[in-house]
Amino acid sequence: MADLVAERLLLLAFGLLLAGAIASSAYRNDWRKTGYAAVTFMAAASAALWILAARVLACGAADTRAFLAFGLLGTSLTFHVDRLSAVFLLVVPFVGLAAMLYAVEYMRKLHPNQCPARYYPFALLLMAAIVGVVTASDLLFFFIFWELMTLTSWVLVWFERDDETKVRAAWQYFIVTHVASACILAAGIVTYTRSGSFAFGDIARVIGEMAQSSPALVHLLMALFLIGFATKAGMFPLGAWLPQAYPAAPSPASAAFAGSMTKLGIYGIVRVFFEFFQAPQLTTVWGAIIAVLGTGSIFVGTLTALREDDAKRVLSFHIIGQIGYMLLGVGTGLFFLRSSPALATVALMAGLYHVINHACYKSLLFLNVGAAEYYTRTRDLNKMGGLGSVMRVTTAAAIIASLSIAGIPPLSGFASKWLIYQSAFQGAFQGGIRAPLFLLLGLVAMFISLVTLASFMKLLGSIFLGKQAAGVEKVTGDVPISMRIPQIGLSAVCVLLGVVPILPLLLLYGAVREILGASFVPGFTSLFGSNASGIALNLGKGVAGLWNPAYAVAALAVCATAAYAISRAGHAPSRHTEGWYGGEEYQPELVRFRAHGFCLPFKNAFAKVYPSVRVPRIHALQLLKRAFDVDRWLYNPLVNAGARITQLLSRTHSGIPQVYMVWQLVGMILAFAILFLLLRGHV
Amino acid sequence: MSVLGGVLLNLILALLLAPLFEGVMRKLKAVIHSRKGPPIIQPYIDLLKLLGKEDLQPGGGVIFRMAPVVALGAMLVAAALAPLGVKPPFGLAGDAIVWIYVISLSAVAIMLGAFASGNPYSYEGASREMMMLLTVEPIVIVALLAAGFKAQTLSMGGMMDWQSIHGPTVSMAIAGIAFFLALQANAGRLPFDIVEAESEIVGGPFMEYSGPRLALYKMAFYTRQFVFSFVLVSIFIPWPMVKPHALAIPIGLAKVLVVLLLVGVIDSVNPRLRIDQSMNYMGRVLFVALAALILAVIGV
Repeated sequence: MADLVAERLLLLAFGLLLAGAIASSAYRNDWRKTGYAAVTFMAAASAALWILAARVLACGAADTRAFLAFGLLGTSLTFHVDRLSAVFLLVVPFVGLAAMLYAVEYMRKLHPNQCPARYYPFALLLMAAIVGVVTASDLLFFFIFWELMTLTSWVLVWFERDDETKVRAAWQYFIVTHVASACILAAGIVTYTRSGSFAFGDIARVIGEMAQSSPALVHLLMALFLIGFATKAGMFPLGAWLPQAYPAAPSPASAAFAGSMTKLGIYGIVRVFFEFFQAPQLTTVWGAIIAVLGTGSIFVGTLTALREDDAKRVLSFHIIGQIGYMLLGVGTGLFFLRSSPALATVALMAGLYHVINHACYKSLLFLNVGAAEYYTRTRDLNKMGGLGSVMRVTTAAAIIASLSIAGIPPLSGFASKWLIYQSAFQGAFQGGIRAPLFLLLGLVAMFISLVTLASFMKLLGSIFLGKQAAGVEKVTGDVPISMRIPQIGLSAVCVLLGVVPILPLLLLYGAVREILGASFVPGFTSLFGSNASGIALNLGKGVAGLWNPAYAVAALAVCATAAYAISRAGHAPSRHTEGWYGGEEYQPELVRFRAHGFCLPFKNAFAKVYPSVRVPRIHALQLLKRAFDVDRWLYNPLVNAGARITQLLSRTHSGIPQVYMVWQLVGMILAFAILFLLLRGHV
Repeated sequence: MSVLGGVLLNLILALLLAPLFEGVMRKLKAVIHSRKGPPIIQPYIDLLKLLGKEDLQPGGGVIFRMAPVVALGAMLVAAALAPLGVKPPFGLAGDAIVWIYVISLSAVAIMLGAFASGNPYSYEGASREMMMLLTVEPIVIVALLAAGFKAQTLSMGGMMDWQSIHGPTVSMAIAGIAFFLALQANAGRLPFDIVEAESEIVGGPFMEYSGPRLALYKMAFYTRQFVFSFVLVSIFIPWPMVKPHALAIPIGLAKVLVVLLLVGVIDSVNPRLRIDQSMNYMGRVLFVALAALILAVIGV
């Protein structure tokens, strides 16, 4: 059923974005005029999209009529805006607008000799493509908008054409994302041959039929979709392009990408696995796969980020890590879809909540790093320092964003991470084989949240806190007001989403209820409790977990005031003094702590354990040569593995009696445990 | 007892009694060293003295000034969220995961204050604080998760309820042992006082702080060891269990005294470990905690 108002709003948004793209290519040499023209059109389009999203969230899904129809190909350009699309339509224009407003002064200062028409039109077209991706209801046009998104973002990554490394990063981005998109199109073509149509509804029906007749083919299709969308999202091991491509783009473009494009990979995965995938017997398998891959992404992405010293590369590796959290939530939801509807709802909502939060704080972090780059012209953490004393607003925003991504209460990152941990642990509590799996996934997620904290403490301490470094230009003031406003806006949203979780949870509940079905999903108050200021999670077996940010913030305020009162009780005088370095006179540069040394023993301890995200170089001839060298890839590794295993086992015989006793104790505990397990039924 | 009353009781217990336990530990250390030692109320005297001392600021801005306030404030909220002998009064605001993260908020405040000091020794102290957090918190998480798995909930009040119904179990005992082994590091005591490391990095994160702000940090330190020991005895060694608050809290305090005396003995007879040695040790304790979790999953 076509909804005229929704249709007009959507067309208005597209029209404004296209008009903005044309208008911003008019002023060829003036960055300011082009920038503000682009911002005006983007703001107007965002307003239209927000009104559309509000309308859909209040009234329900909206369809438009078919604008183009190719009956021969079984495809038509229809738009279907449901609540999930509406949530994305709320977040993505906000991030895009903030990045575009920021870009006005940033691009003017850092790239004065480049043509503005190479940036703004493509940024606006990128936004238009993203709107098309989240509202398309037909796979062929979804793919066309996806391609448009890839092409426009590729032009933005390629912005600094003079730098050889950046050009190579752009080419790698181009090739990898096109291979991934080809996977999506291939899967779509397979379903087209079976159903004769590209519409989402028909694809779902066909997959449901194929699940009975040829489940292997369904698995292949799902794998193709997962590869395609996970590459875009930046999941390990498919996200190796991310740390090359995102730092190469200018900071506002990276912020826009981080806030919107990677999230579309998750959007695609949710659409495919929850709407197309009408195969009840196969959801547990794919849920487990997605959850495990997500946790692998969390682990490798974040630990690799800890070793980096380039600010934007750190942020890009953290995208790989945080995408893992979203996939963990979504995968848990998919896994428990048939066995526990309450848990599936909560887990899916947790994953989507993390998507919204991540969009806000990750783009804010890119803007902060860009602000530091604005004056110091460097991204090397070892060379920066002490900008906090002059850049107060940026530092405050950076602290809010860093604590958010690390998951520190009461900010937004904590609320979504808490919900993801709760879903994983409640999944484990269900017992059976799920217990060790989800306990492991949840524990890895919680441990890596600490590693995220370490990484961002390093970032904050190296860029904003401490004393200004001597090697870079001295900074005397904060960035211009048009660069501060987006940061203030994004940090306000980070705080709001954390302190009032009921707001995003209500929106996401509506979206999830639409996807999974109103009869499937339990009531909101039965899941999250009736106290509007917090969450009292209840999956049907009593209270599972509690988090009330309003009370916690109130308590924190009261306790902090009490602490301050105690400190002022003695009326101690205060005096300014110089820092003390052991009583000697030092050059400030000599005693500055470099970012590389932060948590160095920890980094060294993990150097032997985890793989880093390595970028594969595709050389066909070398591949063939290596394939024929059986010694190298089969025999030698096997022999080395055997030798290593025996070496490991030989370490138990250390010659120290205490160690033997420990092994005996361990063996005893294991033996008793196994005996207990085996005999439990008989005793 | 109402929520507000319970919270106030917890805060008063933490503020008034935490320095007393610190004083007892100092006296114990003196006895082991065969000297007379300061009176038990010495920490109170020290804090009062510090509150009146000159407050020197090396120019770290509002972060330097506010970090001790947030550190102590977060620690007090953690005291309200923790079970001090009875079920946590503020439990409706947060469960075990929230408690762990509020304590890491306190650690974050310490680290940010250290960075704002602008002193390389403080940076090193912040780096060590982060590494201690990275290696010790997983043990606390796993031990509480073992308790949570048994109780099928992550709220600490629920864990205590389960304990009162089901009595002692092997997995909870081993989880309690792991928690106790990590307590030494959580309390910042030798051999794990790597963060403060007086003779190596001159006080670490607290180096540039003096007067009332140093008093707040010391108070946060005392509250931390108090709260951790109380969580150990309330969740892992809750017996004997009594109903009325007036009995449960003194019994809890007596158990905390025993635990902290043990901590004090270990503190007095050990040298300081290096950070990498500490990480190795904590890795092994994590192994013990994971064994407890596996036993809990099996159902022992």
